[in-house]
Amino acid sequence: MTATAEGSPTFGMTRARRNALLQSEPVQGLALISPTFLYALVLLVLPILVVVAHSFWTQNYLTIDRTFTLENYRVALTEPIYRDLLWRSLYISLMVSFFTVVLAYPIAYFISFHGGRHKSLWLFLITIPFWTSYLLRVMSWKVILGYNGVLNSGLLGLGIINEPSTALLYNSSAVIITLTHAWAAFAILPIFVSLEKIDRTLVEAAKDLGDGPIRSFLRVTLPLSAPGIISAALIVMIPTVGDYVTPKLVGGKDGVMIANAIQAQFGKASNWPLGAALSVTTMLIVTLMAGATVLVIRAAQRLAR
Amino acid sequence: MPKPPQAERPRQTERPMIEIRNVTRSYGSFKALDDASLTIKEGEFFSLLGPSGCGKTTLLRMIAGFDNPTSGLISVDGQSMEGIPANRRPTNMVFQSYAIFPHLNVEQNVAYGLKRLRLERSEEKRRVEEALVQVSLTGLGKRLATELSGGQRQRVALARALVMRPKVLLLDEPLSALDKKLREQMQVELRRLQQAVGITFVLVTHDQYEALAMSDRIAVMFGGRIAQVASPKEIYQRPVNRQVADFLGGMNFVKAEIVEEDGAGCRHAGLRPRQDRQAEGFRPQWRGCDARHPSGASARVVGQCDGEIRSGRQGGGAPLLRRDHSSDR
Amino acid sequence: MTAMRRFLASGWLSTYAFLYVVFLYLPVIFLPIFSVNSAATPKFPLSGFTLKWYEDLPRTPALLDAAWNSLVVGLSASILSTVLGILAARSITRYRYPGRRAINSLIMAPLVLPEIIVAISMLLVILQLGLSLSLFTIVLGHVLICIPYSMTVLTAGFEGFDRSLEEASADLGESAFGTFRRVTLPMVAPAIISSLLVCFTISLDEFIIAFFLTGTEATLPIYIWGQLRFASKLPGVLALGTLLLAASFLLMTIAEILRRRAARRTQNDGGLLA
Repeated sequence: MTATAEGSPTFGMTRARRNALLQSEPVQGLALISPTFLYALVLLVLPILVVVAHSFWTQNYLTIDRTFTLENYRVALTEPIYRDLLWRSLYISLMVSFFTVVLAYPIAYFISFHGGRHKSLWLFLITIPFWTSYLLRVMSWKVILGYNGVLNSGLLGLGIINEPSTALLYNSSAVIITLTHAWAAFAILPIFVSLEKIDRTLVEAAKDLGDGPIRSFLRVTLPLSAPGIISAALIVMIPTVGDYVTPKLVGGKDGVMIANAIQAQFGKASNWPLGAALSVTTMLIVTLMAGATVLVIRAAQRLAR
Repeated sequence: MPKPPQAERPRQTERPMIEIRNVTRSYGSFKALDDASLTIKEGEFFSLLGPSGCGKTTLLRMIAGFDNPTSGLISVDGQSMEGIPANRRPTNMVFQSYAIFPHLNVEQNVAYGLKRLRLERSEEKRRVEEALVQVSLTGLGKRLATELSGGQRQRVALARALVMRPKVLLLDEPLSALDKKLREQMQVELRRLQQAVGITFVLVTHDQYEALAMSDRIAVMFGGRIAQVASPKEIYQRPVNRQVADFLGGMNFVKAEIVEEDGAGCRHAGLRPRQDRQAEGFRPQWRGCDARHPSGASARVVGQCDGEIRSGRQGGGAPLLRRDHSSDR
Repeated sequence: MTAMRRFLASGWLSTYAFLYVVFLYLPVIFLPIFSVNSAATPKFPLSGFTLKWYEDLPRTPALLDAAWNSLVVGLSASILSTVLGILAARSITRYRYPGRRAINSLIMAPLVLPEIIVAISMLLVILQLGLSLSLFTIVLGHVLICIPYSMTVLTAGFEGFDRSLEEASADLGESAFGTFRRVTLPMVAPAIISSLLVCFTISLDEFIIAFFLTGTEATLPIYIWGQLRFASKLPGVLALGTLLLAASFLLMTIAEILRRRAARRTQNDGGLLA
């Protein structure tokens, strides 16, 4: 017995060490995640780096001139057309995230505090339209807001208006309405999650200490759900800045956004470096705006105390 | 209860079944187990007792193969366990959560390990049946794990491990999830089962009464170190240090000098209080701590009690010592 | 009494919630309504019930091709992203290691990136590498945006999973692979199927990435996009859209039911621990 235990201690030890290393948590965990990680690295990080690189190059008819230049950024930031498009995209996405969050908060609150046994049913009910095709949802707004559309024909039929209104479709309001509808479910979920995390006795404590329902909401519930509001705002704001379908379908001339310009550079205009510079600029500005939003909401949260 | 075949195996012998030699397990600078050495004998009901975080579960999991020592050796039945994964060790485990497979019924749970052995269908069925009889679960074979009570789940976990006929059965706080009454009943039953099958049981527990009631021997552990290994009686009566004594519960400490002992394992006689002495421990049920002890005048304890006085009168300048009825046995 | 008071207290909110759900569903409802309307333009009043727009669908070869392409892309993307999702979700829920959070955020990043950025950056790389655009490149893009959703569904399914179940399996003599096959897989099967359905639905409905990364072959959303230019084709598009809506709705309902079953199963086990 002793012999087997002591037979080959040195060999045993090194093998055990190696086994221990191979069996260690970090190694196994990293090995397991590496295919997915590499996929994201090769198909997301690398491509974005390539875009960044392109933004410093120049399109030379069919070839790319790879000398470093900031010309694309100068065009992107100073040419009135791109500047306007950027501003409009930011304005639209800011409005959309404001409206989605404001509209979504009461629903999330209702489900979290009054949903009772049907919480998950409510959530399911609200998320299901989100899972239907984005393209189709945008299309249905076109059907509703169009010159011969549902709203116009309905209002005509009811005698409220005499001739179809052209003000409904093909402007930035149409884009804002459509996007607000399209992203609604996305805003509800994070707010709901943060409301669910709030300890209900805190609200009771606030009431016990003399706060009415509105004051206790403003002083306890709302500040504590700020993380949910932040992530809801970001999760709507970032993707909508780069939205392509909605402006194309319901935006008309007045509602064109930066994504349409980016697409044009990669398509008809065939100026990849300028398209890349526009993309990078969009990403940077979105990041800045997202950071500013976080700061503003945090400041508001502090004021509420 | 029909006699299971394992009962033919040799009962408790002096042959070592598990040897733990200088085992250390460190996580960074923290040592979960610090140079532990221990021998567990064949057929023994052995308990690892200690507060949470003392390293007892770490040690058990290293015997099972779910964790590896940073240094030191573990051998089971004379064979070094180094480099041998959990699924090839002659040990089986009853998990604290029981870990009953929720997608399988009771029979399938018990037969889980047997499937690997590729037994004849009839043989497999026989062994499952036999294991279910052993743990008094006959007739519940088709139940789903989710339809069982806590006590029944524990029996399934036991049957599932025993059916593999391991050399060592490891039990990780198996009774902690049960209510008090069921726990006491299962203590008796586990002990009986161990004697019936005759294999080595290693129990991890933080409940001193459980350990005292069931074990042949106990290792008391603190902070990754083994403080004492002895029979329940010895540990209770002669704890090696204050920590062990305190953990076993209901002990009085008197700063006094023993001037005389009665020799019958009791340390109640002949005390002379002295503030400069290390405290001597007394179990409350040792009536020697009473002024009326027959051994006479010198038995009178006029010392300062280190511990808190839990019950008893306090008066006449001589504090009565703690008497804890629950630990009388 | 209490129930009554509670309802009154939440009365305004209930009304709002009801209106909100109407706002969510109303636009979508118009698609099926006008898809069975006999008029060629979608407007009120409705002119009469017809199924002719649906009957025309199977007689359009381009549409059938697009449907087939969507099916191929959807199946490939959902299987690939679920496999990658399983690996990542398992690693995230089971192991602790440095960089775990950073890697997780990177994998989840496509969720919060403008899709057009994802699309054009992949397009650039693919063109740089000299690869030709095809259904395969669409699959590559769809996998990238499906993985975050797959991860979300799967981590929820894996999280409640009691680790001692796998240890018990190993303890009873089963190998690592055997344990995965006999314990882990059956336990998380509902979550995996749910992930497959979610990813398939996303791929089926996804437009932007497919639009940028496709070669000559169209998927259903690309086909619809092409048809939108012609006003006369609108009723047919509405009919097709209605079918797609129904498919998404059905797949997501099944996915949700499975997801809940998975959650219940793992929760049950955890629940008994307490």
